[in-house]
Amino acid sequence: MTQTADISALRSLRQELQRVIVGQSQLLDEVILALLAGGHVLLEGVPGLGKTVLVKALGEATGLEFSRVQFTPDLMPADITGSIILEETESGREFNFRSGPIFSSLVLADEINRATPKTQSALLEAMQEFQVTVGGVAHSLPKPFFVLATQNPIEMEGTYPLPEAQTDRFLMKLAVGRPSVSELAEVLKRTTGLSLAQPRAVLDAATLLDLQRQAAGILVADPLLDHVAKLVAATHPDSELCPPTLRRFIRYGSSPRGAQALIKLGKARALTLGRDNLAKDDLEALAAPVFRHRIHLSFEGETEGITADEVVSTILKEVPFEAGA
Amino acid sequence: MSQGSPEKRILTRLFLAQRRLRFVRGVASGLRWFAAGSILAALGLIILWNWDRLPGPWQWAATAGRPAELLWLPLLLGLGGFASRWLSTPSARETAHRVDRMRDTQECLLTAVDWILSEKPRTVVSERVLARAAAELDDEARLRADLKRLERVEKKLFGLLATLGLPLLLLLNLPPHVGLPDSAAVWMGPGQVDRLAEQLAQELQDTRRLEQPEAKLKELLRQLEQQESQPQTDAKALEAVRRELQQTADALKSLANGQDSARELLETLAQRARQGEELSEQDKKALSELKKLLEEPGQKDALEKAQSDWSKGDQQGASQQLEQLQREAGQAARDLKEMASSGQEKADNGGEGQSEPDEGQDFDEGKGDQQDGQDFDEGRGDQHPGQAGQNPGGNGTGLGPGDYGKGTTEEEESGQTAMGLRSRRESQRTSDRVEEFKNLHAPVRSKEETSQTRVKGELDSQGPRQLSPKEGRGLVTEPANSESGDALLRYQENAENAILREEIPAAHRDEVRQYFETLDR
Repeated sequence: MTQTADISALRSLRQELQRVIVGQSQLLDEVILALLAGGHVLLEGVPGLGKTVLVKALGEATGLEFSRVQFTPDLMPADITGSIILEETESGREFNFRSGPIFSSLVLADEINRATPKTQSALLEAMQEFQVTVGGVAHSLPKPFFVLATQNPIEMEGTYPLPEAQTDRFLMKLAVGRPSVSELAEVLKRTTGLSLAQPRAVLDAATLLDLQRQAAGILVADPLLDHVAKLVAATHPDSELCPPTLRRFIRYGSSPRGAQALIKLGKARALTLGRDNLAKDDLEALAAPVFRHRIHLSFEGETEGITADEVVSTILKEVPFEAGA
Repeated sequence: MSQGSPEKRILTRLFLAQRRLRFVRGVASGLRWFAAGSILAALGLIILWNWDRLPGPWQWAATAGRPAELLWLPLLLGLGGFASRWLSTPSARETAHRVDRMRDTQECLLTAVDWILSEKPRTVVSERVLARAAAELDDEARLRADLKRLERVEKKLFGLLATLGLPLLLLLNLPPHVGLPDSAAVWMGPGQVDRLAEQLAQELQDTRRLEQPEAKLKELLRQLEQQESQPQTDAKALEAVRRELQQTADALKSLANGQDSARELLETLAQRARQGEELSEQDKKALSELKKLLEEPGQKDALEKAQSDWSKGDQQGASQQLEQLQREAGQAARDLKEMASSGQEKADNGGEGQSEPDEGQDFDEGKGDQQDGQDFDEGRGDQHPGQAGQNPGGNGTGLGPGDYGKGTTEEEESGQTAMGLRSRRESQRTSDRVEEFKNLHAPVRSKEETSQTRVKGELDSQGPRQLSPKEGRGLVTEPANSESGDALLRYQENAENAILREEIPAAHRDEVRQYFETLDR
């Protein structure tokens, strides 16, 4: 198979990340899938779990241009996108665009929910259209372009919840869990010595783009597309497909972007597993991270302690797969 | 080594799986429908068993009897259920998905089939998917072995075959079927006319074998009297005469039954004519059979005139002629029965009151086997209806209320003749009528209750007062009025009997009753 070398590159990437990140194997897999699918990832977890380290390691292992933006309440949109400044040149003074940190292939938006909504929304255009418009001029972002945002749980002080329009632009939302005792011991062993492990660059932008193309070319049978559409419809409480037991717990469900994200990620998973076609298992494995930030629970759902992951799990069980005529 | 393009190889192999799926689903569906058929057959049997509780027009079901052919229902429905699924082949995509699940090939086959059926353009990736799917199915022997576990008929479904026991048990254990009532003749239409005509023809054929039974009966009675009057009578000769007398009485009963059949047929035809029905081929055939039975020229003329009127569209005139003939046939049947009864009585006198087990109660005549002249309510006498199995011999002197003609005799169980059936049906109908009559009218009227003995009220200072017959001054003495009172009662009784014998058209029966009740008041 032609992509054998590329898949081995992905394996190498994973190994390099594991040199820095202890445990979190599912998290690493899903981040790599998002990279292949060309989408953005929102990492959520309490401080100190290695979110920033992961993103930095990913930047180094992929060899992509990396930038980091620390979101704070006083951060302004121009601090991210860049601004027009007056510069003295040989031909005289002129206004030039000075690009911001967003003009990198790999952007770490650290603690994104600490910035005001106005600043957060500065990322909207960049994440969806891969361009930034400043002063009426659209500036294309480099390819590949990949935003990894971290956020603290919204219950914490000094946070601004991300608007739905923005969370929807993240391909998936990954929860960073606490390490186990053995993992924590391993973390201590690796990080408290004289030298820290540094990942090697095992990928480049061209290879990554080629892998993204291959992932996009994975075949998807029509019945699987129909199934994804049904899954998305089932997240809406007013849909016939929504399981009756869930209706009162859901305020509103996933947008069509959720369906697109699921297919893209499923294709990427199929590629990493050496398949040329999407499988139902791919969809089931990725439904939770794709839908968990797109399903908004009702007040009743929240008071009952229902989680979005439970909703997704129920939907996967209740919506039957039909191979079609 | 595999041959042909991947598409061809995939679709060819997939067809094997499709056939397997449709067979398994066909069997499962067939078993379910088989069970439904068994339940339907059982329900059908129960309905046919209780046909007389159905609304009138639905009683046609009774003509089916309780046929064992109902057992075909589960089989046919099972076959239908199998065929319905067998004929609908599972879709290629669905089958591919099932094979994918079975072999854990991660929708490779489904994607390949979808690609083929959707006729999407070939790409490098699609070629790889098709080649992989084809390779997966290339080993036909392995595929055939795998198909056995693709889908199986649930074992518990085979348990549904046991539902056949339900109709079987009912068939074996339900009491025998009760035939149609004569009143069914009208709503059964021309088909029933045809049946009755055939029955009449058969009875005519039977009775023609007899030669002058009336004259023979008189002769035998004379011989019997002679022998009994002689002081030294040969017991064997006497027994021979009695046996012959018995046979003649039976023959007369057959003749009476023939007349009854004719009366019934005439009644049916009259009702059809009264309702304005056109003269059908069955009606013509029935009239032709009736002509053979009628001996008097006047009756034949009347029948021909009735047929002529009917064919010309004068149904009213035809119905009147037929009703007249019906009355005459009824009278002839009664006369014959009376003769048969007298012969029977004589024949039985020497037989120490032994009764015939196969004859129903002849309530019409007030004779039959009711010895000692007991009131029918008391039921003493030789009534042998009995349920099948309860009194199979039917030979005894039953006590308690008799079930006149209801139930089944031994003869019916063993394939009885048309005459026997008719006799029993007649008895049952009569029994019903009697019950109705008893409900409407008190069975015994004391003379004190008639208008002749009733005392009129008188006015006094306290207003009108009804005196009892005992205290009233106007009590009418018996001798002065007994003759006219008896006459009224006698006529009224005759009228009631005529109603019971159905000599009076149904539409006029209430009027007759009201007439006498008015006179009574």
